[in-house]
Amino acid sequence: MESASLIQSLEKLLGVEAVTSAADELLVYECDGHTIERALPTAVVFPTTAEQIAEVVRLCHRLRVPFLARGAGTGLSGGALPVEGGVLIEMARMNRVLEIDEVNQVAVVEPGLVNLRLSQAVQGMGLYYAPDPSSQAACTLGGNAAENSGGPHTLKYGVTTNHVLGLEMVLPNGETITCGSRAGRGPGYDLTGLLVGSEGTFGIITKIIVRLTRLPEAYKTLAAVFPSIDAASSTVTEIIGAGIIPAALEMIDHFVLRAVEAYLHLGFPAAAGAVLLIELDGIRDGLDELAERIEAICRQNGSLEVRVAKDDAERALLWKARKEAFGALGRVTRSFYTHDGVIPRTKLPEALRRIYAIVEKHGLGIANVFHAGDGNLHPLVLFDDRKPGDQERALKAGEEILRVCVDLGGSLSGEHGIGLEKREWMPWFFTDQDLELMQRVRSVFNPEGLCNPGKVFPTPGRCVETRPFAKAPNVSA
Amino acid sequence: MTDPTTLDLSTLRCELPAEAFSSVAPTGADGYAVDGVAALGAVFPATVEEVAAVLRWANARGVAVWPRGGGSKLATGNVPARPGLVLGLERLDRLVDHVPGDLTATMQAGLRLKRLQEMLRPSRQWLPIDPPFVEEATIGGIMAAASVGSRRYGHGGMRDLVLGTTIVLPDGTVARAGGRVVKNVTGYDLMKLYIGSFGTLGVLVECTCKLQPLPLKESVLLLMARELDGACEALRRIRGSCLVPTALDLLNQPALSLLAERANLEPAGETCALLIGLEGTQSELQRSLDEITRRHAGGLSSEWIVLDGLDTTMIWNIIQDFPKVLASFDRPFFLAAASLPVSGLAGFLQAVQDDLRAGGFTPYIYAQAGNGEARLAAFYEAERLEEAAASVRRARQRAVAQGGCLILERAEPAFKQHCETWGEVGGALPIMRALKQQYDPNGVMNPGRFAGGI
Ligand SMILES: Cc1cc2nc3c(=O)[nH]c(=O)nc-3n(C[C@H](O)[C@H](O)[C@H](O)COP(=O)(O)OP(=O)(O)OC[C@H]3O[C@@H](n4cnc5c(N)ncnc54)[C@H](O)[C@@H]3O)c2cc1C
Repeated sequence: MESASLIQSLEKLLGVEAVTSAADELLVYECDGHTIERALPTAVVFPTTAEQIAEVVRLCHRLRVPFLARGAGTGLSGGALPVEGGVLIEMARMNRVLEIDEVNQVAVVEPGLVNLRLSQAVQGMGLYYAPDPSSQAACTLGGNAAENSGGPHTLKYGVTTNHVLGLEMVLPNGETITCGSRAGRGPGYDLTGLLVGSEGTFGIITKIIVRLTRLPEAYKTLAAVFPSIDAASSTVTEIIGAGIIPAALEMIDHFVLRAVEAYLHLGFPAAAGAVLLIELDGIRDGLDELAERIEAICRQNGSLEVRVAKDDAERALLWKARKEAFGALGRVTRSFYTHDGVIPRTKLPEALRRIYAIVEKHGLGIANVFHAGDGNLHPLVLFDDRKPGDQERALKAGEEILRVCVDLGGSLSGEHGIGLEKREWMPWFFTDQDLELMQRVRSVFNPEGLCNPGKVFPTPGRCVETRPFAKAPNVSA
Repeated sequence: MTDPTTLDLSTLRCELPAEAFSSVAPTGADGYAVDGVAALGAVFPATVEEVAAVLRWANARGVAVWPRGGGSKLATGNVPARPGLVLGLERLDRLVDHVPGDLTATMQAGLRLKRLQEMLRPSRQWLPIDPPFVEEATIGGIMAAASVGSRRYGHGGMRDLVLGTTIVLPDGTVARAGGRVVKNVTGYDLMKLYIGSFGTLGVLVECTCKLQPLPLKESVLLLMARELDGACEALRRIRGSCLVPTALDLLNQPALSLLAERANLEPAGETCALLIGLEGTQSELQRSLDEITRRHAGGLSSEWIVLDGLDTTMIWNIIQDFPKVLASFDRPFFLAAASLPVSGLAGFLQAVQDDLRAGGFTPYIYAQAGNGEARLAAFYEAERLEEAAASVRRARQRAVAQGGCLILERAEPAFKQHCETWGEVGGALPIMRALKQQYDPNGVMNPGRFAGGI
């Protein structure tokens, strides 16, 4: 189909102001947070209702034009990378809180709503939305549902799927289905659970029913400073092994610490090799006891200092250090590549030693800031995009790191998804039969493959060893 | 379709060792019949390969297969569309892997939950679920039936705990989803599809779950209330407070007296009760007990009982075995599970209780009220079966009107003719049928038993 007439048809459906097709404006959408591959859609549309989405999808279906949804584009695995010649459905204008049901602790929202906005909207009722990706000030609940996103506090509270009660979705043929309800599940298969984490390949989510959580009465936030990341990771293993599951248990290594220190001035000792950010929450009674046990474990593992946040302001500052780590890194390093792998928590010290060795072998730098309590690693491989071959080495190191995760009994992704980035590595983790079954499930929803094609599964006939990134890269921090 | 009278198992006998044809567990008087439909036979494979061999054999011949764990929940479902071959999982009962430091365990589907908990206890860990049927429930059955118990309020259900599964498809394909780590988004979350699929997609043979440390201390607070209304009000206050109980159950008067009798408790007078599960440090428990009895219990009768230690286990076990307690009376009864928004619970329970009473039935209600789940049961005389069924249908209408649903968990086959098991599935039914078609194109897995006739 001619792009001109596709654009015209879209404009007729949604109005001229809800369709973008000018080349320079499309550039904004050429990639998500995974900046290594890029592609331009024919048009980006900005629907405001589920009915408009259904109309756009019906049009695409009739014309056999590929399409996909885009939330805030913060995804790190290329899930929202447009399809050349296709339509990108931008969810930003569908960002309303449709209903807050305080008694049942449930909210009904549109998928373009930014994660943090929901928590802010219900704060006055003593409620919040528990899954808190570090990108929560930008990412959307639709993107979260598609990726089954996690965050620091998902250690105790669970990831997105544990908080989504129901969904409305436009199928790739333009029909709308609803599943789940605020009462939890209904009769039949649990489609809600299946749709969460399907990376936008089953259809376009148009409404989400989420569970809200009561804000805890009290927090106890500790920052434990260690001379080495090795000592910090042994501590993580021991805390979990002792049967203590904090609300959050995050690792910040010395490189990230130095970057953050430069503008937050937290005053951690220069000798700090790593800091564990440990948070307990719940009713006030009993928190001190638990904090003391954790402090003792930290000391046994050689901690230099355990700082307890004395008030909300100090707690907020410590979390700022964690949540703005990526931004801080951008100021001190030319480029970095964020990885996301998981290992069993008991393998943390070993995994980190092997990861450091890999990066060193490639002559690159590394920074680590990650969800240690879950065993969810985020090694950030540092490189200089001006140096020839540096980026290729960073990609190669990343591939080897993920191989280590899988070999240690872990997995390819804890929360960022497979998308384009990791699709060729799926056979490390799953057999052909496993992958075929998943694709059969996809075909039930998306039989013609028009919705977000090319994601999650290895390209047929492509050799697994091939480097996944075909295009000339242009990475920025 | 196979004519049961001519089913010849001899070709299957060639593929499996002789032991695979005899069970180690006793069966009831009518063998493996389900809803009065006799089984074609029973096999008990000991390995995943043997499960695959049985399925391939049956699938090629269009023979229906009825997977079976501990046999405790086979009463849930439509009357089977045709007789089936029982595929018992009792021999697949190994704890495959337990890494205490990771708080994860991998086990085979036929492992009994009770046995699993015994094996985890030395590490001071448990799989934090307490579904019905203390003795019989197996891991596979609990997953297949999405079976939950009181402490789902604090710990979640299998849906929140399963990290990975292995399933054998009818054509013998063995397929895995998820993994063994506590956080993982590699590939689609097919585990969710299997949890609650009642054996209609394939045979679950293995799963990995998150574990929890055993609670430091446990208490159960039994709080009496004169009326359901008042109990629900207190429940709403507790739910809206900063306290974090792990169970918030509600029992009406008949259910409470049944519990009291089994537990040798003496609740005073004609009351219903809230049953509140608390776990944590001594100071957490004390604070919760004080606050609930002083602040949230206002308006209830001032009586309460606190149970600690082994007594808590006893209480939860009785609740878990309620279906067995009811069955022990040897009278026909129905047991239905309603699920609705918590805000609608008080009105719903009152209406259903009144309706059953008006019909001359004694309503037994025990609810995981904190989650908006309620179980309703009543005995009936054989000649009043249709009236009893009509009252369950009315209860379903009420639940649906509140945005919820009602599933008939247990009833004799004749009852099911007057009250369908699952209720309306709604607009997603074609998708569900298409999923079933992908997994089980020959329609051999538990045919006809599931929602929408799947
Ligand atoms: C600095 C930074 C920190 C991060 N921290 C975390 C973290 O702590 N935890 C974590 O899990 N992730 C994290 N991420 C990754 C990312 O923020 C999450 O994956 C997030 O959920 C993506 O949301 P989004 O709105 O940006 O979605 P997008 O990137 O726009 O899209 C992601 C995928 O969702 C699909 N999608 C979006 N909306 C819909 C819809 N309505 N219907 C169907 N499909 C849809 C898209 O097609 C795409 O496949 C981080 C990213 C950055 C840049």
